[in-house]
Order: sequence, then C-alpha cells, then structure tokens
Amino acid sequence: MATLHAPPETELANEAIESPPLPIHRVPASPWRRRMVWLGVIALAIAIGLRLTPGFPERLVVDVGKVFDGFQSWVIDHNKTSPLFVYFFTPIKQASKVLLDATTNVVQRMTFLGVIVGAAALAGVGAGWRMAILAAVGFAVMGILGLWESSMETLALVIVSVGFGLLIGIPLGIWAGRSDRAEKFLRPLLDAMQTVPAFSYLLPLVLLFGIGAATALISTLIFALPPAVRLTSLGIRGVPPTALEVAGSFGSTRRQTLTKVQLPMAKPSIMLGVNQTIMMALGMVVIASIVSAPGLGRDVLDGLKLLNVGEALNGGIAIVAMAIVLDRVSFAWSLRDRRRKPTIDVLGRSFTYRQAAAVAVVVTVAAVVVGREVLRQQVWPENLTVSVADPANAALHWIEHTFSAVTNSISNGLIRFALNPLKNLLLGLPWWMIAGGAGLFAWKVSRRVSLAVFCTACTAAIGVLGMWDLAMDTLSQVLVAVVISIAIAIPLGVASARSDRFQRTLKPALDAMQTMPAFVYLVPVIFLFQLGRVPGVIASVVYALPPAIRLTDLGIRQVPKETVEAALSYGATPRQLLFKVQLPLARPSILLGVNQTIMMALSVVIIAGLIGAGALGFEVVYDLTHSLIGRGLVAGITITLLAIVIDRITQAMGMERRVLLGPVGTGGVGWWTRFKAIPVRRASGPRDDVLDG
Amino acid sequence: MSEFIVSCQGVWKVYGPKPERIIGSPDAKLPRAELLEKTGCVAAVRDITFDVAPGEVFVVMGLSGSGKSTLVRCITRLIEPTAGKVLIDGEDVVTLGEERLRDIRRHKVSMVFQHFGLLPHRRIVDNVAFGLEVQGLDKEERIARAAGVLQTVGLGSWGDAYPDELSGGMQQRVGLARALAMEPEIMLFDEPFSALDPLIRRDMQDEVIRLQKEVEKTMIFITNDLLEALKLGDRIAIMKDGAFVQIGTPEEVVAHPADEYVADFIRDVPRAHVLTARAIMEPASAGDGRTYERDIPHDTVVQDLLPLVVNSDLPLRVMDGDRMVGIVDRTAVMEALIEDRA
Repeated sequence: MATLHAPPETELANEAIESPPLPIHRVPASPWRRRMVWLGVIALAIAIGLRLTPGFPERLVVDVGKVFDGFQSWVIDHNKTSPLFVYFFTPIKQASKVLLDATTNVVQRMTFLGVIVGAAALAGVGAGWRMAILAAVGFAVMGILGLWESSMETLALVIVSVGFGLLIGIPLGIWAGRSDRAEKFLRPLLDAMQTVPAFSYLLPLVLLFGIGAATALISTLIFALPPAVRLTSLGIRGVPPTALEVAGSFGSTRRQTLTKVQLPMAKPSIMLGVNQTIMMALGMVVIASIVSAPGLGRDVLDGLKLLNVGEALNGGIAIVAMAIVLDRVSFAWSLRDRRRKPTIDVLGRSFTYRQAAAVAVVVTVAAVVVGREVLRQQVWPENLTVSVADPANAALHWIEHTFSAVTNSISNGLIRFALNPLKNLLLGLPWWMIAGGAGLFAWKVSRRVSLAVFCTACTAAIGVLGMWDLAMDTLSQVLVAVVISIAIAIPLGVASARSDRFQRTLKPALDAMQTMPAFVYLVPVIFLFQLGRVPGVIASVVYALPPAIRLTDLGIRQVPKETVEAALSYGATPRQLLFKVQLPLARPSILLGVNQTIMMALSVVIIAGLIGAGALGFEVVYDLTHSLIGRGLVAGITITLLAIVIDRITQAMGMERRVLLGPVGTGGVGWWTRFKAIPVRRASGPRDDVLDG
Repeated sequence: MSEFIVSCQGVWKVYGPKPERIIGSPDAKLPRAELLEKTGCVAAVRDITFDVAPGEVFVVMGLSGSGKSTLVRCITRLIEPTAGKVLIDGEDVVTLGEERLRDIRRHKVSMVFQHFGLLPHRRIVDNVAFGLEVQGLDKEERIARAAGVLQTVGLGSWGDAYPDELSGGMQQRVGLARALAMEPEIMLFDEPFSALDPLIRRDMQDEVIRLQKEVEKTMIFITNDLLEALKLGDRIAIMKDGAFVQIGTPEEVVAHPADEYVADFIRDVPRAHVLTARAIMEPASAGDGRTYERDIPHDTVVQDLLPLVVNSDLPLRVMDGDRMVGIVDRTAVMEALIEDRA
C-alpha cells in the first residue's frame, strides 16, 4: 500500500535524509489476551489474600459513634437553651408541624367526598376526564381498603413537601439555568443530595429535629428537591441560543427574556420536574415512617414488623394507588399542550379552561358541603371497606404450601451459591486488599490517580468506622442483585430496541415498576420468600431492572440511522450489526444503566434491612428505633461511603454520560424512584411521547 | 447627523485570554493560525471599517468562519466588539448604556436570523408582534400591526398557526415580518436564506428587493452566496479571515478583483450578467463623426449588448443621461465574454 503513495524516487532519496523515521504502528495485543492476564492476576491475588489475616483489624477501629453520642447528649442538654436550637432548629420544627397539621386538618375537613371530587376535578381540568376518573377511582381504593385516614396524612405530607420543594426548587433551577456560576455551585450539592441514601440522613435529622413531622418533611424535601432544580435548569439551558439572541436583538430586558422566552420554552421540562418531585416525595414520605412520619408507610411498616404480611399488603396497595394517581395525573398534565388545544372536551362538548376551572371549584365546594352537612362523615364510611389483609394472609399460607418447593430452592440456591460464597470471599480477604482493589479498579476505569486514592481512602474509612463486616455483607447482597439484574436487563433492553412491538408490550410493565416506591417492593417478595436476605435481593433486582432495560434500549435506538445503514450496506448480519456497531455505540448509555442499577439496588438492599436482610440497613433501622444515635450515624456514614465509592467508579466507566444527558445531566446518581422520562423522551422526540403517553 | 446611517470604524472582535492586548500590537497582523499559536486568541473580526448610506443595501460576503456573522452582531452589540466604533445615526453604540442600547434595538435596528429564530411556543402573529410586545405596546395594537405586516409578506391567513406548521420559506417570511413590524430604519440580515431551497431562495431575494423598493430601508445583508450578493447589493464587501478584502459595487468587484482570493471567488460568475457597458467601453466624450448602431444607457449589462453587436457591425454609443461617455463595439463585447470563459 505504502508504495502507491510514495513520491518519485529522486525526491525520495533527497527527503530520506531529513525526514524523521516513520512511526512504527504496533498491533495492539488482543483485548481478550489482556483480559485473561488480568483475570489471572486477580485470581492469584485472591488465592494469596485468602491465606492472609482476613477483615479489618480491631485495633485500627476508631469509635466515632462515641463522639456522636457525646454530641447527642449535648443536644439533649442544650436544645432548650442553645441559640442554635432556640432560634433555628426549633422554630423550623414547630413551623413544619403547624403547617403539616394545618394541611392535614384542611384535607380532613374536606371530608372523603370533598377530597375525591376535588382530586377528580383538579385532574380533570389539568389532564382531561380520563385522569379525573383515574383520580376518583384511585382515592376510592384507598378508602375501600380502610386506610382513608392514613392516606390523607400521607397526602398532606406530600402536598406540603412538594409545595416547599417547588417553591425552593424552581427558583434555584432558574438561577442555575441562567448562571454558570450558580450551576457550578449547586451541582455538587445536588449530586450529594442524590448520592447519599435516604437512610443516612434520617439520623442526623432526628438528632436536630427529633422524631416526627419535621424530620419527615425535611428529609422528604432533601430527597425531592434535586429533580425540581435540575429539570428547571435543564429546561432553561435547553432553550436554543438563537431564541435568546432574538430576544436580545429586539431589545428584551433580562426579565422579559425570562418570562417571554426561557420559561415558556422550558415549561415541558419544568413540568416533568414537578412530576418527578411529586414521585420522589411520595417515595420518601413512605420511608420516613421509620421516623414516625404518619401515614401509609406506617401501616406497611407495622405490618412488616408484626409479620402480618396481609396488613402490609393492604398499605402497599394503597400506596401504589396513590402513586399511580399522582404520577399519571401529573405526567399527563405535563404533556398537555394547551396552545394546541385551548379547550377541554367533556362528553362531546368543549369548555374553555376558565369555564372548566370554575365548574371544578363549584363541584368541589358542593361536594365538601354535602360531605360535611348531609353525610356528616369525614372519613370513608367503614361499612364500605374491604380489607385485603385476611384473604391475603390466607393466600400467603396457600402460596407457602404450594410453591415452597420452588421458592425454597431458589432461596437456598441464591444463599448457597451466590450470597454466602461472595460474602465469605469479601470477609475472607484482608481489608487492604479490598481497599486497594477498589482503588486499582477506579484507576483502571478512569486513569485518574486522585479518584483511585479517594476510593481506597473511602473503603478504608469504612473499616476505621468499625463497620467492615456489615458493609461487606451489604456489598455482597448488592453485587448479587446487580449481576442478576443486569443479566436480565441487557438482553431485554436489546430485544426491546430491536422490536417495537416488544417495546410496547414492555412499556406498561416498566412504567408500573417505576411508579412504585422502593418500599412497596418488599411486600410481595416476602410473600414468596419470607424474611431474610433473599427477598431483599429479589426486591432489589426487580426495582433496579427498569432503568437498565430502558437505557440499553435507548442506547441502541440512538445509534444514528446512517451508521446502521452503512453497516447493513456492507453486508453486516443482524448479529454483526448488534455486536460490532450497536452495542459498542450504546456503551455509554448502557453503562449509565449499570450505574443506575447499582445505586438503586443499593438503596433497596438497605431498605431491606426492614425485612431481615441484616447488614447495614438493619443496623440503621435498629439504631433508629432504639435511639442509638451514635452507632446509627456511623452506619449511615458507612452507607454513604459505600454509595460514593460505587457511584464514582461506575460513573467513571460511563464518562460520556454527560453528553448523553445534556449540560446538567441528571446528576450524581439518580436516586430516582424512576428514570422514565428524560432519556427515553429524547430518543423518540416529544411528538411520539404525546401520542403514546 | 452624519451622511451615513451606519458607520463601523476599526471594529475588532478577538476571542481568547486578554483580547485587548492584541489590538495595536504587532501580533494583530499575524495570520489566524499563528495568532492562535502565539497568543491563544482568535481574531474573528479584524479592523473592519465601512460606511452605509441611508437606503443602501450593503452586502457582506464570505465563507463560513470568515467572521461575517460576528461582524453583524457587533453592530447592535449582540456580540460585544473588542475595539472600534460603531456609529448608528452618528451615535457610538459601543459606549452606550444598557438602557439606550435597548432603545436602539427596539426602535432603530432589527434583525433577520439564519435559522429564522421563531419562538416555537408562540403563534405566528405573536411571533411577529414579539418586538412590539417587548416595547410595551398593548395587545390589541400590536396584534393589529403584526397582522398588517403579515399581510405584506403574503401570510395574512397564517396568524393563528404555530411555526412548526409552516415551511422553511414561510417561516423566514415570518422572520422578515417580525423585523419589519418594528418599523426600523436599519435591517440586519444574517444569512437569512442559506437554509432555504434554491427556488424559494430566489423568491425570497425578489421579496427583499420588492420590499426595499417599497419601504426604502437601509439593509446590511450577510451571505455566503456570491450570486445573492451581486443580485441584492448596492455595494459588496468580501470578507476573509475576519478582514475585508475588497469593498465595491458588484461590477467593480467582478471587473477588478482585488486579489487572487476574490478572483477565485468570481471565477464562476457569469460576467456578462454583471459587467455593464461602462466597464468594457472605450471612454470617449464626443462624437468623432462615426455612425452608431444606437445609444445605450451606461448600466446596460453585457448580456443585453450581445444581440445588438451580433446584428450590426456598427459600434454602440454609451450614454450617461444625455451625455456620451464611451463607445462599445463588437470586439469589446467579445473580449469581455472571452475573459469570462478564462
């Protein structure tokens, strides 16, 4: 080949003297060979490691818990006198309580009839009559299950925290959207808020605000704020520069640019933020029952604690009903395109929005009056309730008897061949080997020494905190869940990307899975697998599936059409197309899916502490309920460290993800209860979504 | 008030660290790549000076990356120039405060954008009324005015539609209407038709020429299409690497390209369509007793002379009004055509 391009010989002779020698292109060693070498090294290291002193040595442990306990006693002694409490924490605590009580009060005084009709009317005006029916049915379900009061308590908590979340989140998002400095300042904060598992900040909040409404409210706020900020900022930054230039060239002031161009154009994204905030808030409000937040979470938690699975299921169904109503209505609302369709149609007649809103208000007020004056009944009438608890418990026994052979073998298999060997391996290796391994892996995927050192230090810190064994236990559960989850998700994602029909079939299931708060997943799995680590792992697998499936699908579908055409025109088989073109190009998206899967699995494995999965999650729950603040805080910090290490490493694996998700990204890790909207929408374009949403 | 409505004097736009230091230093003369290498700065616009008379159409022509879009944005400071003066009606825009600058943008100058820049969330009529809305006009009045302007661009019945329901050509008519609605003295066009199909582009160019005749605006028009520049421009500036290579009437540029670069550009231009009798004539002020085929105006293009010299052996007399300015014969026309082919 080279001779073809060689200049005539005379010139060649002249140049040969001066020109530097041609670079030698070495053929790189086959990646498989390199991988085998790596595997060999790892196997050897493990073999040696297992002969060394296992675990983390006692003498290096620092009792940090004592410090926290000291702080706790200081708080107990001073929370009536210290200005920090008198003028800051206590007023916040009291204000939250007052606000929450007032909201609960209003909701209760509206009576069940007023709430159902009001919810339906609101949904109807915002999102159409189908959503009105959905809202009415959803709320009726909560009443029929006999959980009206708890449901209203949960609703009040969601309303207040979402209200605050948007009140703070949208202005912050606008700020971050318009100023790079603000964005730089807020991003690490939001990353932190989304990386730190909810269980970790419950304890410090309990310390500052005590058990009860304020802690529930503030933890929910922390949990639910990031999507509101991020999606507002994303929307504002997504406004094309030409639009801003047009505004400027016609002499808009900054305020005019904001109100006439940026906000209207960012509206779909902001509305999506509202939807996400609502769902996050609901997810957290349920978890907050651990710190005595009132509501449906409490019903589930009590059921779980008393091993009354039927009771837990009752609460679980009510939560799902509320989740579906809130999600579908707010999502439909966010998609609603008023400019295209300035009227809403009810039974073939068109009404303007103003008329519809007026009707909604009148109907709601009428329902409240009827409820108060005619029925004189605040909560759903008791003679109309049907509890599923007893039949569910009966079914549980039947299932236990019928399927126990299957479920037991799955259970035993998981424990014997996956959970125990992995746990024993992690506990059998010396701590420095695991910490070093984490660092080495971090370096390998990122080539950044700083990240490697950081990951090693964080892992070592877990040992110093005295939580080594528990953390390794949790890690083993997470890894098993993740491996299973990915092994299922990637093939499904590939199948979904290659068949529109399969994608359509899968969609409702994935939507449903992403609507439910993590907490709820625990209920059905203990039906099948009783208590212990296995139901925790299974719940994690199920919970973590949807984002990995969707991101694999998305990644493959995002491969440019021209690239696929080029491959096909050279005669690639479907299989070659998949392995040589689509999967490599989908890599960033798939790796983001892996990151999401891991973080979501971790969150559920920890929550599974509630159903006997032990390890760090149980430690936190136990300490919370027994007021062991110091130890609980240490466990919380350990969870955070674990989450950060895992997150940073997997993020480094999929570095390009920022490109995928635009300037702000969706942040550190989404502790999204669901990941549905943003990336999937990008793929199909807004129009498609309107059509199939 | 000066005789020029827009006047740029030594305008620079340099991107990079401490851009001010470049101007006036010897580095300023370096070619782009060397400047970047040495200082880390990119000079997008370098030392541009030109004047535009009221009612004139001034076209800036250049390839992508030549800095023309940056230059047009410097005029209303959508991009802040690094140095130089921009006088609009004798007032230096560069030194103006925010308030006064906004005033100029609202009342004196309006712009038509390359990708139309319509706001997708507004109806067509609201898009056209955008500038008026920003000025603070009340709703009824601005809608009425916008509807009127939409009529003039031939989109009277589309006011209630949304931008994505219109074709590209129609969208740019909306962009044009939006600029016209402001009743500005000066209109800036940033490659307005480059995204359109050739036939639609020609329609739009005719539309601009028609409007120019009707409303007599001063126009500064950016394009990368030489034929468009020749068609629309009273004067053309050719821009390369941030600087003007040549300014002149279309004919001057075609007849006397300033350098290789410009010559290269105009190579494919059918000169017969651009060159006029004046450019190829042999100057003469009085009759020498010869007989002429007929009198022709001095701005007749060569294309139109052809049939005259083919059908007759006699030369043509070139007239500027009543005054004779020169003679054109068959040889002169043929030579012009031969040059065209070379």
